[in-house]
Amino acid sequence: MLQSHRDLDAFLASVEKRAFRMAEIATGNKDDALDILQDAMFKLAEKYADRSIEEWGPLFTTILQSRIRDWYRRNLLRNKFRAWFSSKDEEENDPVQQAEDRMTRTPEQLLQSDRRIDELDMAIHALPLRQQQAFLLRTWEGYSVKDAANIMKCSAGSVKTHYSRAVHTLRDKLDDHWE
Amino acid sequence: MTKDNENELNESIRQSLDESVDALDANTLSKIRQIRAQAIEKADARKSKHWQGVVVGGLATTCVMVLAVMMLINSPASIDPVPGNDLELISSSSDDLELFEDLEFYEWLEQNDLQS
Repeated sequence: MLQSHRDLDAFLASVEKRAFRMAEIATGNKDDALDILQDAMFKLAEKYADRSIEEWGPLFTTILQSRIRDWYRRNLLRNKFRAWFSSKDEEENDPVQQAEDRMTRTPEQLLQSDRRIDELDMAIHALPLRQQQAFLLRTWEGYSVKDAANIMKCSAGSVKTHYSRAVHTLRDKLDDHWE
Repeated sequence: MTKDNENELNESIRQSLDESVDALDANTLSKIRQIRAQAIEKADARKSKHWQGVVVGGLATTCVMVLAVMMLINSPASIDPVPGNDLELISSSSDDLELFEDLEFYEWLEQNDLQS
Protein backbone atom coordinates (compact mmCIF):
# COMPACT_ATOMS: atom_id res chain seq x y z
CA MET A 1 0.00 0.00 0.00
CA LEU A 2 1.30 3.48 -0.86
CA GLN A 3 2.26 5.89 1.92
CA SER A 4 -0.55 8.25 0.91
CA HIS A 5 -3.03 5.38 1.16
CA ARG A 6 -1.67 4.42 4.56
CA ASP A 7 -2.29 8.03 5.59
CA LEU A 8 -5.80 7.88 4.16
CA ASP A 9 -6.45 4.62 6.00
CA ALA A 10 -5.25 6.16 9.27
CA PHE A 11 -7.37 9.26 8.68
CA LEU A 12 -10.52 7.26 7.95
CA ALA A 13 -9.87 5.07 10.99
CA SER A 14 -9.71 8.20 13.14
CA VAL A 15 -13.04 9.63 11.96
CA GLU A 16 -15.15 6.63 10.98
CA LYS A 17 -16.84 5.92 14.32
CA ARG A 18 -17.88 9.50 14.96
CA ALA A 19 -19.03 9.83 11.37
CA PHE A 20 -21.11 6.69 11.73
CA ARG A 21 -22.66 7.96 14.97
CA MET A 22 -23.52 11.32 13.36
CA ALA A 23 -25.25 9.52 10.51
CA GLU A 24 -26.98 7.14 12.90
CA ILE A 25 -28.29 9.97 15.06
CA ALA A 26 -29.53 11.80 11.95
CA THR A 27 -31.21 8.78 10.35
CA GLY A 28 -32.10 6.82 13.47
CA ASN A 29 -31.13 3.72 11.54
CA LYS A 30 -27.92 1.69 11.59
CA ASP A 31 -28.09 0.38 8.00
CA ASP A 32 -28.80 3.79 6.52
CA ALA A 33 -25.95 5.22 8.60
CA LEU A 34 -23.57 2.58 7.22
CA ASP A 35 -24.70 3.38 3.66
CA ILE A 36 -24.07 7.08 4.23
CA LEU A 37 -20.66 6.36 5.75
CA GLN A 38 -19.78 4.14 2.79
CA ASP A 39 -20.77 6.82 0.27
CA ALA A 40 -18.74 9.47 2.09
CA MET A 41 -15.63 7.27 2.43
CA PHE A 42 -15.78 6.10 -1.21
CA LYS A 43 -16.15 9.63 -2.51
CA LEU A 44 -13.21 10.89 -0.44
CA ALA A 45 -11.05 7.95 -1.60
CA GLU A 46 -12.02 8.27 -5.26
CA LYS A 47 -11.99 12.03 -5.67
CA TYR A 48 -9.81 13.57 -2.98
CA ALA A 49 -7.20 10.94 -2.00
CA ASP A 50 -4.47 13.07 -3.56
CA ARG A 51 -5.34 16.15 -1.48
CA SER A 52 -3.30 17.11 1.58
CA ILE A 53 -4.04 15.43 4.92
CA GLU A 54 -5.18 18.77 6.40
CA GLU A 55 -7.88 19.07 3.75
CA TRP A 56 -9.36 15.62 4.35
CA GLY A 57 -11.13 16.51 7.62
CA PRO A 58 -13.32 19.36 6.31
CA LEU A 59 -13.79 17.58 2.95
CA PHE A 60 -14.96 14.35 4.57
CA THR A 61 -17.30 16.17 6.96
CA THR A 62 -18.76 18.18 4.07
CA ILE A 63 -19.39 15.01 2.04
CA LEU A 64 -20.89 13.25 5.05
CA GLN A 65 -23.25 16.13 5.86
CA SER A 66 -24.22 16.39 2.22
CA ARG A 67 -25.08 12.67 2.14
CA ILE A 68 -27.13 13.04 5.32
CA ARG A 69 -29.07 15.94 3.73
CA ASP A 70 -29.69 13.81 0.62
CA TRP A 71 -30.99 11.00 2.81
CA TYR A 72 -33.34 13.44 4.55
CA ARG A 73 -34.73 14.75 1.27
CA ARG A 74 -35.30 11.24 -0.07
CA ASN A 75 -36.91 10.15 3.17
CA LEU A 76 -39.16 13.21 3.25
CA LEU A 77 -40.35 12.47 -0.28
CA ARG A 78 -40.89 8.80 0.55
CA ASN A 79 -42.90 9.68 3.64
CA LYS A 80 -45.02 12.15 1.65
CA PHE A 81 -45.86 9.47 -0.92
CA ARG A 82 -46.59 6.99 1.85
CA ALA A 83 -48.89 9.46 3.58
CA TRP A 84 -50.61 10.36 0.29
CA PHE A 85 -51.30 6.75 -0.72
CA SER A 86 -52.57 5.80 2.70
CA SER A 87 -54.68 8.93 3.21
CA LYS A 88 -57.89 7.19 2.07
CA ASP A 89 -58.01 4.80 4.97
CA GLU A 90 -56.26 7.10 7.37
CA GLU A 91 -58.25 6.08 10.38
CA GLU A 92 -57.51 2.38 10.04
CA ASN A 93 -53.92 2.84 8.88
CA ASP A 94 -52.52 5.98 10.44
CA PRO A 95 -49.10 6.50 8.73
CA VAL A 96 -47.63 7.80 11.93
CA GLN A 97 -48.69 4.64 13.70
CA GLN A 98 -47.64 2.43 10.80
CA ALA A 99 -44.30 4.10 10.15
CA GLU A 100 -41.28 2.21 11.28
CA ASP A 101 -39.99 3.45 14.58
CA ARG A 102 -36.33 3.82 13.70
CA MET A 103 -35.32 4.44 17.28
CA THR A 104 -36.87 1.22 18.55
CA ARG A 105 -34.37 -1.31 19.76
CA THR A 106 -34.72 -4.80 21.04
CA PRO A 107 -35.03 -5.30 24.80
CA GLU A 108 -31.54 -6.80 24.81
CA GLN A 109 -30.08 -3.74 23.10
CA LEU A 110 -31.91 -1.47 25.49
CA LEU A 111 -30.52 -3.35 28.44
CA GLN A 112 -27.02 -3.14 27.06
CA SER A 113 -27.06 0.47 25.99
CA ASP A 114 -26.55 3.40 28.22
CA ARG A 115 -29.83 5.09 28.99
CA ARG A 116 -28.27 8.51 28.86
CA ILE A 117 -26.94 7.85 25.38
CA ASP A 118 -30.35 6.67 24.21
CA GLU A 119 -32.03 9.76 25.61
CA LEU A 120 -29.45 11.98 24.00
CA ASP A 121 -29.78 10.18 20.66
CA MET A 122 -33.52 10.64 20.69
CA ALA A 123 -33.29 14.29 21.74
CA ILE A 124 -30.79 15.17 19.00
CA HIS A 125 -32.62 12.99 16.44
CA ALA A 126 -35.82 14.95 17.16
CA LEU A 127 -34.13 18.25 16.25
CA PRO A 128 -34.55 19.65 12.72
CA LEU A 129 -31.65 18.49 10.54
CA ARG A 130 -29.94 21.88 10.27
CA GLN A 131 -30.02 22.28 14.06
CA GLN A 132 -28.62 18.76 14.48
CA GLN A 133 -25.80 19.52 12.06
CA ALA A 134 -24.95 22.90 13.58
CA PHE A 135 -24.99 21.47 17.09
CA LEU A 136 -22.90 18.36 16.35
CA LEU A 137 -20.38 20.18 14.16
CA ARG A 138 -19.86 22.88 16.76
CA THR A 139 -20.11 20.90 19.99
CA TRP A 140 -18.78 17.48 19.04
CA GLU A 141 -16.52 18.05 16.05
CA GLY A 142 -15.29 21.40 17.40
CA TYR A 143 -15.61 23.31 14.12
CA SER A 144 -15.67 27.11 14.21
CA VAL A 145 -18.83 28.94 13.12
CA LYS A 146 -17.12 29.82 9.83
CA ASP A 147 -16.01 26.24 9.10
CA ALA A 148 -19.40 24.85 10.10
CA ALA A 149 -21.04 27.35 7.72
CA ASN A 150 -18.77 26.17 4.89
CA ILE A 151 -19.59 22.54 5.61
CA MET A 152 -23.33 23.22 5.89
CA LYS A 153 -23.22 25.53 2.84
CA CYS A 154 -25.02 28.34 4.65
CA SER A 155 -24.13 31.65 6.32
CA ALA A 156 -22.37 31.99 9.67
CA GLY A 157 -25.49 33.74 10.99
CA SER A 158 -27.62 30.69 10.11
CA VAL A 159 -25.19 28.40 11.93
CA LYS A 160 -25.41 30.58 15.05
CA THR A 161 -29.21 30.58 14.90
CA HIS A 162 -29.49 26.82 14.36
CA TYR A 163 -26.95 26.13 17.08
CA SER A 164 -28.65 28.41 19.59
CA ARG A 165 -32.07 26.88 18.94
CA ALA A 166 -30.62 23.38 19.24
CA VAL A 167 -28.98 24.16 22.58
CA HIS A 168 -32.19 25.62 23.98
CA THR A 169 -34.29 22.67 22.81
CA LEU A 170 -31.82 20.14 24.18
CA ARG A 171 -31.62 22.06 27.43
CA ASP A 172 -35.41 21.88 27.79
CA LYS A 173 -35.56 18.18 26.92
CA LEU A 174 -32.58 16.96 28.88
CA ASP A 175 -32.77 19.38 31.77
CA ASP A 176 -34.30 16.97 34.28
CA HIS A 177 -31.87 14.14 33.64
CA TRP A 178 -28.65 15.96 32.92
CA GLU A 179 -28.19 18.21 35.93
CA MET B 1 -29.38 30.10 30.01
CA THR B 2 -26.01 31.33 31.23
CA LYS B 3 -22.82 30.66 29.30
CA ASP B 4 -21.56 28.42 32.13
CA ASN B 5 -24.73 26.33 32.04
CA GLU B 6 -24.49 26.03 28.29
CA ASN B 7 -20.86 24.94 28.48
CA GLU B 8 -21.71 22.44 31.19
CA LEU B 9 -24.50 20.95 29.11
CA ASN B 10 -22.32 20.85 26.01
CA GLU B 11 -19.49 19.17 27.87
CA SER B 12 -21.89 16.62 29.28
CA ILE B 13 -23.33 15.91 25.83
CA ARG B 14 -19.85 15.67 24.29
CA GLN B 15 -18.83 13.11 26.90
CA SER B 16 -21.92 11.01 26.27
CA LEU B 17 -21.36 11.12 22.52
CA ASP B 18 -17.77 9.99 23.00
CA GLU B 19 -18.97 7.19 25.24
CA SER B 20 -21.45 6.14 22.57
CA VAL B 21 -18.59 5.83 20.07
CA ASP B 22 -16.65 3.64 22.49
CA ALA B 23 -19.74 1.53 23.06
CA LEU B 24 -20.28 0.57 19.41
CA ASP B 25 -20.91 -3.16 19.06
CA ALA B 26 -18.42 -5.54 17.41
CA ASN B 27 -20.68 -6.24 14.44
CA THR B 28 -21.00 -2.55 13.57
CA LEU B 29 -17.26 -1.98 14.04
CA SER B 30 -16.52 -4.89 11.73
CA LYS B 31 -18.81 -3.44 9.03
CA ILE B 32 -17.19 -0.02 9.40
CA ARG B 33 -13.73 -1.57 8.97
CA GLN B 34 -14.90 -3.41 5.84
CA ILE B 35 -16.19 -0.16 4.36
CA ARG B 36 -12.85 1.53 5.09
CA ALA B 37 -10.92 -1.33 3.44
CA GLN B 38 -13.13 -1.04 0.35
CA ALA B 39 -12.57 2.71 0.25
CA ILE B 40 -8.79 2.22 0.30
CA GLU B 41 -9.13 -0.33 -2.51
CA LYS B 42 -10.99 2.31 -4.50
CA ALA B 43 -8.18 4.78 -3.91
CA ASP B 44 -5.63 2.14 -5.08
CA ALA B 45 -7.70 1.36 -8.17
CA ARG B 46 -7.94 5.07 -8.92
CA LYS B 47 -4.16 5.44 -8.63
CA SER B 48 -3.45 2.52 -10.96
CA LYS B 49 -6.10 3.81 -13.39
CA HIS B 50 -4.36 7.17 -13.28
CA TRP B 51 -1.01 5.58 -14.22
CA GLN B 52 -2.65 3.47 -16.91
CA GLY B 53 -4.06 6.68 -18.30
CA VAL B 54 -0.65 8.34 -18.21
CA VAL B 55 1.00 5.39 -20.03
CA VAL B 56 -1.75 5.09 -22.66
CA GLY B 57 -1.78 8.85 -23.14
CA GLY B 58 2.01 8.94 -23.50
CA LEU B 59 1.98 6.13 -26.04
CA ALA B 60 -0.78 7.78 -28.02
CA THR B 61 1.10 11.11 -28.06
CA THR B 62 4.31 9.39 -29.17
CA CYS B 63 2.48 7.57 -31.98
CA VAL B 64 0.89 10.80 -33.19
CA MET B 65 4.25 12.58 -33.12
CA VAL B 66 6.02 9.78 -35.02
CA LEU B 67 3.23 9.74 -37.59
CA ALA B 68 3.42 13.52 -37.98
CA VAL B 69 7.19 13.43 -38.49
CA MET B 70 6.86 10.62 -41.05
CA MET B 71 4.20 12.54 -42.94
CA LEU B 72 6.38 15.65 -42.97
CA ILE B 73 9.34 13.71 -44.32
CA ASN B 74 7.31 11.96 -47.01
CA SER B 75 5.13 14.88 -47.97
CA PRO B 76 5.35 15.96 -51.70
CA ALA B 77 6.23 19.49 -50.66
CA SER B 78 9.47 18.29 -49.18
CA ILE B 79 10.63 16.64 -52.41
CA ASP B 80 12.45 19.17 -54.59
CA PRO B 81 11.19 19.13 -58.12
CA VAL B 82 13.83 17.72 -60.42
CA PRO B 83 13.55 20.43 -63.10
CA GLY B 84 14.15 23.09 -60.52
CA ASN B 85 17.23 21.30 -59.39
CA ASP B 86 18.48 21.07 -62.93
CA LEU B 87 17.88 24.74 -63.53
CA GLU B 88 19.76 25.53 -60.35
CA LEU B 89 22.64 23.38 -61.55
CA ILE B 90 22.58 25.01 -64.91
CA SER B 91 22.30 28.50 -63.54
CA SER B 92 25.08 27.89 -61.02
CA SER B 93 27.67 28.03 -63.80
CA SER B 94 27.72 31.00 -66.17
CA ASP B 95 29.74 29.02 -68.79
CA ASP B 96 27.15 26.26 -68.92
CA LEU B 97 24.41 28.82 -69.31
CA GLU B 98 26.17 30.38 -72.28
CA LEU B 99 26.57 26.91 -73.81
CA PHE B 100 22.86 26.30 -73.60
CA GLU B 101 22.04 29.75 -74.94
CA ASP B 102 24.28 29.14 -78.02
CA LEU B 103 23.39 25.49 -78.43
CA GLU B 104 21.91 25.99 -81.88
CA PHE B 105 25.08 27.81 -83.01
CA TYR B 106 27.32 24.97 -81.84
CA GLU B 107 25.11 22.41 -83.57
CA TRP B 108 25.34 24.43 -86.83
CA LEU B 109 29.10 24.76 -86.37
CA GLU B 110 29.51 21.05 -85.91
CA GLN B 111 27.42 20.27 -88.99
CA ASN B 112 29.49 22.71 -91.10
CA ASP B 113 32.72 21.21 -89.82
CA LEU B 114 31.54 17.74 -90.79
CA GLN B 115 30.49 18.87 -94.25
CA SER B 116 33.75 20.65 -94.89
